Amino acid sequence: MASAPVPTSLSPQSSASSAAEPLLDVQNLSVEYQTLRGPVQAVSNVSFSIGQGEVFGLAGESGSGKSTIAHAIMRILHSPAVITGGNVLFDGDDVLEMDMEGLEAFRWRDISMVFQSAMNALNPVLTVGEQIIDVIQRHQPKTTKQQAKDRAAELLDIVGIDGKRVDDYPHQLSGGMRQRVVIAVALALKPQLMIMDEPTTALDVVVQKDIMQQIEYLKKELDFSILFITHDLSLMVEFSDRIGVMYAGEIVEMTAAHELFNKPMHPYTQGLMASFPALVGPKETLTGIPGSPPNMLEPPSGCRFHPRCPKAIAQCSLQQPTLREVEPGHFVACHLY
Amino acid sequence: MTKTVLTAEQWKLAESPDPVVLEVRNLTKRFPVGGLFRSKQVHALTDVSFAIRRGEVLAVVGESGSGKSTAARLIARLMEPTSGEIIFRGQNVLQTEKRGASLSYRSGVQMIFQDPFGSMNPTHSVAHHIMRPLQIHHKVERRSDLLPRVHELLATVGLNPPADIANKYPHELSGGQRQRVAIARALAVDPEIVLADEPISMLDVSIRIGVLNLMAKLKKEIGIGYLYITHDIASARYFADRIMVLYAGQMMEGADSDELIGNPAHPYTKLLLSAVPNPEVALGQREVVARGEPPSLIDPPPGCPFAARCPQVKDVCRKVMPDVQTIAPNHWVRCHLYGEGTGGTAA
Repeated sequence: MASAPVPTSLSPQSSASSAAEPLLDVQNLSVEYQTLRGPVQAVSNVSFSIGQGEVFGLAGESGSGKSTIAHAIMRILHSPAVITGGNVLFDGDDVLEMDMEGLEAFRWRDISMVFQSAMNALNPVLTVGEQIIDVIQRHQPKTTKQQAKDRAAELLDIVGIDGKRVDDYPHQLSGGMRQRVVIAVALALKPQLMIMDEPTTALDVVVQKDIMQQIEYLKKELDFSILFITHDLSLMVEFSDRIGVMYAGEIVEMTAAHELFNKPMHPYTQGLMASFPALVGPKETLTGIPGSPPNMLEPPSGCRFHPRCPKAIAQCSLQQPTLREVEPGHFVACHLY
Repeated sequence: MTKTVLTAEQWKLAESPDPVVLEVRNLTKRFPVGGLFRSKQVHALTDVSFAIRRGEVLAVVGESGSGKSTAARLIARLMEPTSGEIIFRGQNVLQTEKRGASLSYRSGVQMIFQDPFGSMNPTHSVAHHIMRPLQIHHKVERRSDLLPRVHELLATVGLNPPADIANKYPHELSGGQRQRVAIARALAVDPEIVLADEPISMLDVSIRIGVLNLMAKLKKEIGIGYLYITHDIASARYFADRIMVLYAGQMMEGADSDELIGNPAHPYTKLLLSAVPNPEVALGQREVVARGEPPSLIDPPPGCPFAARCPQVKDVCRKVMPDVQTIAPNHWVRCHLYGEGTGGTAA
C-alpha cells in the first residue's frame, strides 16, 4: 500500500451541496440505440444515486447497459445511441441540459472516467507527463508548464509510480503502470466523482489487486465518489458500498454490497452468485444460469429475465415488475416479493 | 545444462489405474528477437514437464506471459518447440512426425480456443464446421451418416434442437453457444486429450459454469483428458484434478487442486491466491504478499524468475533455479525454501 501522504492540494474541490443531497442523482434514465433493424432499448428507466465519498457498483453482463449508463452520464454517447428520457443531476445541475461549454468544464473537473483498456489509449508519441500536463493546462490555462509538470510528477507519485518517470513514454511502462497513469490523468483536476468502467479487467489478478488497493487508499485520502462498473461480482462486493445489478437494460436489484452478497433476492442475482466458483469452502456443483442473455431487439415480455428464471410464475411473462423496496434499503424488481 | 524432468512417477500418478495418454518432458520454446544478428531470445517456456491420464484434468495456471498458452500451442503443434519431448500414446511425436502432426495425432489431441468469435468461419453453417473434421478424419462410413452424426454431437454438447442449430451461422449464436459448437467440433474426431486455452474467459459470467460443467461431463462420460489453461485459479479448483503454476515460463509448483489451494508452498502461488477477490474479506484487509510485475522474458538472468519480487528471497535464489522438491504426497515445488536449498540447476 502506498504510504506517502497525499498533498492536501489534491483534495477535491469543496462541494456546495448539503450532505443530505446525493452527489449524483440519475433519475429514470433511458437510452436507445437506433439500429437498422429497429430500436434497441439499451437502458430502461434506470434510477440510482451516489453520495459523497460513496462507491456505487453497477454489476451486469455484457450488453446489460452498464457502460451505456456511464457514457450517458459523461454525455459521450454517440449516434446511434440517443438518450430518450430521464435526468442526470450532478450537484443539483442537470448534465443532460448542459451546452458544449458547460460540458467541457464539467468533464474531468467534476467527473472523470477511467475506461476499460484505457492503458492502450495513451498517445504513444507523447510522454506520460505531457499527457497529464495536457489535461491540466486545457482546464487551467493559467498554469505554467513547469507547475503542470510538477503536478504531473506529484500525481504519478500518488498512484504509485516514481515521479521521475514523468518523461517516460507509454511503451516504457507495463500494462499495470499505464493503467495507473490513466488513473493519474483522471485525478488531475480533483474530480468529485470518478467513473471506473472495468478498470482492471485487462490486467492480471496480482496487478488488479495492487491497483484496486491503491484506488481504495486514494479514495480515503481524497474523498471522491466512485461509480464502479464491472462484471466481476466478487471484486465488486469487495470494493463497493452499494450495488445495483443490471439485466437487459434494467436495474433488477439494488442494496448494500454485503446485503447483496449475503442475501441476494432476485433470481438473476442468485444465479450470478451461483456462477462463480469459490476458492475456499466446500466444492459445490454450480449451476450457473440456463440460456443466454436476451436479444435486445426483441426483449422478452414482462420480466426480461423470465425465460431463464427457475422461479418464474405465470405473472412474470405478462407484467413487468417494478423496482420496489422490499426490505429497508433493499430494492428488488421481482414478482416473488 | 542439467535438466529438471518431472516424471509421471515423481508426480505420483501411479495411484490411478488410468493410463497416461500425454506426457511432455522439458518442453522449451525460445523466440529470437531484436536486431540484425538476432542476438536476443525470449524464453517463453523453459523445461516444462507433466503428464495427463485418461479422463484427467490438469490445470495450468499463470498470469499473462507465464507461458501457459505457449505450452498449449506447442502440444497442439501449431509451432515447433525449441527442445523437449511430446509423448503421445507412448511415442515421441516430435521424432516420429518431424514434418508436422499426423492425422492420427491431430485427432487424438484437439484444441479449443479462447475466442469463440474468431475460431469459426462466418460464411459457413454450424453443420459445415462439424462435418469437415468428420470427413477429413473419415469418422463416418457413408455420406448419409454425416448429418445424423452432426446432430448427435450437437445434442451431446447441449445445443437443442440440434437440427435447428446445425443450420445456423456463427453470427446467429451467442458466445456460449459458439463455444459449445467448438467443443462439438473437437469431439467429432474422438480425441483423447483436449487442450482448452482459456475456454470460458471471453464468455458472459452467467454461462461460464455451464460450459465448464459440459467439459466435466465429457471427461466423466467419454474419458477425455484436459489440459486446462487459465488465469482463474478458482475455476481451476472447480474443474481440475491437479493444478500446475507457471511463472515466467517456468514450472513453480504443482499438486492436487485442493492441496495446492489449501497448502500453497511457493511464495508466488501464495501471492496469486492472495490476489483473488474475496467478498468475505475487505480489500484493504487482504494480506500483501509481494508487489511488482513479472520480469522480462528476454535473456533472463539465472536463478528463480520470482526472486526479484519474492519476500523470502535468499542469495542462492538469484543464482540457481531450484529443482523439483516433493514436499507432500502429490505435491512438488521449485523453491529454495524447501529441501536442501542448493541442489538446483545451474542455468
